[in-house]
Amino acid sequence: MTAQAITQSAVHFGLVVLSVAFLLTVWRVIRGPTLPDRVIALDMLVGIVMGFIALIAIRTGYTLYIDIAISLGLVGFLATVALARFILSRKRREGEDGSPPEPLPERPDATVEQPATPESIPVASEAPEPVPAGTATPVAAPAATARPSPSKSEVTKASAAKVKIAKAKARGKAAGADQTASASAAAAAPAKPKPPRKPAAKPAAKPAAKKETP
Amino acid sequence: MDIILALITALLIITGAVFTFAAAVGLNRLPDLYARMHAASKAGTVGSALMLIAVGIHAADLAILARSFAGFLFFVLTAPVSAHLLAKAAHESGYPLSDISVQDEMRRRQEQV
Amino acid sequence: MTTYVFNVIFAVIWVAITGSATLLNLVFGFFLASLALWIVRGEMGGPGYWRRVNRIISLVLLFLKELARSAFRVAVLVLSPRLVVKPGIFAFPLTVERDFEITLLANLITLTPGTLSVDVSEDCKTLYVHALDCSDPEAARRDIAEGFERKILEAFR
Repeated sequence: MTAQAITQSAVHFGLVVLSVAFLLTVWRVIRGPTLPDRVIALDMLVGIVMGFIALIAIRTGYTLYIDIAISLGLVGFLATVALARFILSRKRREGEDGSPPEPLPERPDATVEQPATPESIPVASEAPEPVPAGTATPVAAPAATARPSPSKSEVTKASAAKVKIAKAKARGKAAGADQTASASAAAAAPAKPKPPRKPAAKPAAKPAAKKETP
Repeated sequence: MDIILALITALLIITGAVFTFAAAVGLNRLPDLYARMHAASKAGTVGSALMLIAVGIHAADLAILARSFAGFLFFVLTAPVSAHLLAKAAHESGYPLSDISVQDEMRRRQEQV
Repeated sequence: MTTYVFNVIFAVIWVAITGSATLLNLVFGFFLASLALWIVRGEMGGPGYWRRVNRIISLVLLFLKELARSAFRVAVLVLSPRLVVKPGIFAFPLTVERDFEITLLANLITLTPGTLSVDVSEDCKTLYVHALDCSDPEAARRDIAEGFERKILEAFR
């Protein structure tokens, strides 16, 4: 009986220590600045879980758990190898480990890619379009208030035009008006996080409004 | 006899748990990913492997002991391989060593090429 | 080398056929397999099988001893209140040539205190080793060359 007591208390101690180790490792998985750090921590987690399984096997007496631990080790090894191959093929990204990202040459690509969205939106469906226009207006208004006066009137005008467009579409307009409306909405939407791009977006919104008024 | 077996098992469990704990602490304290690999691939491996052996000894059955030894050997042999592969992959995809590193002869070779 | 592989394979087959996966049965199967291989030694390989088995066993023992030592060292280092590490990667010129020996050496280096093999150069002449304490790479190189590498050469040549 004492032998069992010794084993059981050791198992309890081990379970507590392993739990703490598990939490520490999970913390590294969450925080770990780079991808390999996380992979190491995940590899380590497999080891800790194998320890857990072994302790549970001792505690319950089901030695079949050893086979589970071995197969878990096999799966963990294969996963680590696969992730290592992935890291090898992916290359490091700037700023991944918390260092300030250098000015990337990919900026032009991002601006080129954005005009692709207006085409994709009208094809998808007509119903969700009033929603982005409606949500865009309240977000754009505070941005305008934060900025000096000349642009303020323009932005409010544009947002008013958008609301009008949305209303017009709710009434059921032609497909041509539909497309310009969605184009203006989509052009105004990416403009709000970036103040420098706003003047470029507004001329696109204004002609649409002029076309709409007659 | 039972007592001795239980003591050995308890010793293995506690040692394994402490090693695993040390590995987890090292994973959080060491400066860069290569140094963290030391902690994970050595202390962590030994910790889990000791607990596997503890199961075999606790069961006091040769078949189970053989299986737990097989698991031990497998785990101890694969851990360095995965650590090695991970270190190589990380180094080749350009993850740098931490600033307090003394030297990096591998980087020098890559620059020559 | 193939002789050993065959020996292990035969032992495993013996265990599978007899259907009792005990350690004793595995050892018995190993002996049976080595006996069978000894009978066909003329066709199979060179002499000195048992002499080398001794050395391989000593290599395995060294491996386990170093593993225990290295885990202990890392644990002590990590749990000490002040973390003093000078990590770095140094190049180690290889004397062993065959792929199997390089693999074994790399694994052994990974399990020695404070060192971890990172990469092998294209021509298999240099091993790149990451060390937690890289303040004296010369001493580390000498340790590996006189410890593991010599043992491996003894065991497999």
